[in-house]
Amino acid sequence: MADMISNFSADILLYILSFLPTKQVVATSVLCKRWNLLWRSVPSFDFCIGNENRKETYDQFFHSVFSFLRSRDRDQPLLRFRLNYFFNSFDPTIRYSYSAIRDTESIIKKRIEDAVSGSARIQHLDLSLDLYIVMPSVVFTFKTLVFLKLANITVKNIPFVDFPMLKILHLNCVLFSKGLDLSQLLSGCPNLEDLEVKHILIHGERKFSRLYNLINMAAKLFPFEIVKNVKVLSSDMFRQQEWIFDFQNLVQLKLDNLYIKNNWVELLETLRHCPMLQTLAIGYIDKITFGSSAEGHEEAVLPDPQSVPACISSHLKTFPSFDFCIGNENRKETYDQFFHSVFSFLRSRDRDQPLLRFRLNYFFNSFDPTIRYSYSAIRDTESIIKKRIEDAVSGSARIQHLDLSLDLYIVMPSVVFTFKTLVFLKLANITVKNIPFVDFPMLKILHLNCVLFSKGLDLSQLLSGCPNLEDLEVKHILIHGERKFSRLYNLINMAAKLFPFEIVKNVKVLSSDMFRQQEWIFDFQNLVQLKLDNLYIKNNWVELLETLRHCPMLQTLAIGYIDKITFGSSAEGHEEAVLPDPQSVPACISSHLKTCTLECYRGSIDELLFARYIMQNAKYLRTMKIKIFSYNGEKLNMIRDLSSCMKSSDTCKLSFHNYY
Amino acid sequence: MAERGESSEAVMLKKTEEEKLRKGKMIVGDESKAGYEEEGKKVKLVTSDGVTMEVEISIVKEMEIIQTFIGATDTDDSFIFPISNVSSHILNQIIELVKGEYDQELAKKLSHDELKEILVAANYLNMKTLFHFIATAIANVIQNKSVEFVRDFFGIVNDFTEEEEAELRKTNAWAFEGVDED
Repeated sequence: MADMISNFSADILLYILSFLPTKQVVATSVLCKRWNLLWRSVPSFDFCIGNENRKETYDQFFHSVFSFLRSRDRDQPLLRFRLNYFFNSFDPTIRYSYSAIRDTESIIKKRIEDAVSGSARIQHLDLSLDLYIVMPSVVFTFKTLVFLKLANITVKNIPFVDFPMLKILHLNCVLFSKGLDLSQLLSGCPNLEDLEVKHILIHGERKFSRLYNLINMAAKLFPFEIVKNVKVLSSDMFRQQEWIFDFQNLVQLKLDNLYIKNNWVELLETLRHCPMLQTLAIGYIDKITFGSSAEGHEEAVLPDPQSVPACISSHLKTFPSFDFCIGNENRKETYDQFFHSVFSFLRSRDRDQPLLRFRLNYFFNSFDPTIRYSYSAIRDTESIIKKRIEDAVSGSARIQHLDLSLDLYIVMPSVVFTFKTLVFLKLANITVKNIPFVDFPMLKILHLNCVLFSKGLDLSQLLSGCPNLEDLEVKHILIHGERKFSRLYNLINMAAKLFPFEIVKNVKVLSSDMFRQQEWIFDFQNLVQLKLDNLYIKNNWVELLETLRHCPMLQTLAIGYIDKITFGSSAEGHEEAVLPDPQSVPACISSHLKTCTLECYRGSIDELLFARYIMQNAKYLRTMKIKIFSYNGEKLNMIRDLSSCMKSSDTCKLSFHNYY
Repeated sequence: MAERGESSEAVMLKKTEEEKLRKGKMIVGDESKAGYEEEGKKVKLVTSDGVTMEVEISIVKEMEIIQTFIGATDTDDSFIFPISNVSSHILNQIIELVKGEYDQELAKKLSHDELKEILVAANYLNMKTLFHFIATAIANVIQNKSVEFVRDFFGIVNDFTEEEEAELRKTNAWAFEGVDED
């Protein structure tokens, strides 16, 4: 191998170097004399900088960029060009004025044009800049482009698009000016194979031309007709009525934010249009009804086996899900190997050493016929796993940390309820039944997600056995109507919904996506941190403010997604919203509130009013954080409106962020 | 890499004919992947260490240098192509990568020496997809690594004096700022 390096011609080295960040490429100048000047001929430009908070860091970054451009050999055309930065235009310490924005814009645009001009052979272009930067129109002359990725950029004044070689197009947060539209851009990319579209406003009635060569598509709000030939489709929009074509080539489908009703029948009907599907991924499912049969609801009815969609019976190989370690596997062997290694570890470890922490997370694809299909197979697997877990933890009476994410078909081994030393218990996707009695005197942290309780047991019973609980998180749990909960005196953190508040009066931190004013009838004397999500606001925040009177010590308030906010209400002749006068400001706002976050600010009058109210009345506010949700150019107006609000706290820092 | 560049191709061919008789044939390739009208067709290649390997036509098609040969000569099945720059070990690795449809996971299993040898072989055989694949795999290995690591990877001997290197680092100081010299 000694002479291997001599086999690498300069061309080969340049090719390898073209895939490296430019900073590293320039650093190769010190490797040895032969490499000293090589970097100047590397046909690529690759600079990235993240969300830095010092103006100096950006200055240095652009200094590097410009000094590289000056010193490289301009006879060598650039084939790859990547410039990614996130310019925090809202941070006053970096740049604030409109003139600064315009200056920066024009410099960067000029430099990009300089850098790529004469590079008519550029193949790979990746620009992630700032929505205020208009893409240099020279980009549209690069007919050799194969890969184009644009993010946080405005595209306008384009007479005509022609990218005959373009195979990969990824767009994220691209603002098209009125003249141009995504449909026009796509019409100039006849050979596109891979399209990803995120956070793009698509004007209503545009017609898209068919993309015959498209193989991968991740996009939403998209007419399906044009992509009938895709092999891979990822979408967070699912409307059965749009699936009226057969996707003859589709082998991989991912659906996110699925809204399921009518017992999956709609989805199954849709799958009939995907005869060759091999991989199906279901992401977040909205409003699924857990344990519905317990409420006298009919047992879910899925189509009988004769009418199973052909893709499921004949082709489906993978049914992965999110967030589970071994959920994405498509072969029975992989699970077998997984359990083999689990069990062989259990066999070979020193059993005299008690287990103190135990985590087993997997997602078992019970729908994949190659893994397990019949109920008897499920029962067999269940009993094996249950047995192994029992074996593993038996004699571990001192276990403190238990984290099981299994499968709803698996009944939690009842031995778990004998672990009196448990401090941390996390259960997900598991059924809990036949528990005579719960006693977890040490348990401080309990996280439950998708736990099915049998009729005998309920969350209230479980909680009654955890008198020292400090942290409770409850997601996707069916709570039977009339159960009484005992008070949790030590609870500090709670993230739960559908929960009677009486028992958690002592919490310090509360996160809830249910807010009903009529339930806030107690004082939360200790509450310092409150997060409300999926808030339904009417009556102009008065209800929320009334509620805050019950939280006298509150220091941190976060408002998440707000439902049914009235956009531009005053424009519709709606009365100007009225907030209580300063005399009656809730004590927590005027005396304690230090941090307020609006996590999904969409710029309505009501939201502005609330933000202004907080800033005007919170004398000790240190941070007002606004995460702006906006697809269009309204962002600057929102910033301007919010920045002009009077602040009663001298030390209050108003910061803006993107919701995404 | 024995005798690379030492023997002429003719000598190589003769030598390998003898080797073949001694070692027997090594058959490589997967019948099921063979193409349409040339189904099952294989091409004989002789590697630098004198092994004759029968390689599927679908894989040989990516080797443009062999395609040039095939185009230029009126060949029959008995023709043996010498690839004097590629060892049988490396040819086997190449076949695995092509059959594995250039899976990055396969590249991760290769040693640094194997990566470099495959790149040289891909360049010699003019296999464009393989060349690109291995070049990016090498870039991934050395990405964000220290100057010392990169020297070591390419077997570079530093022929700068300490003073010269310090001076060079000063010239493009920004390229060395905030870099871990691990």
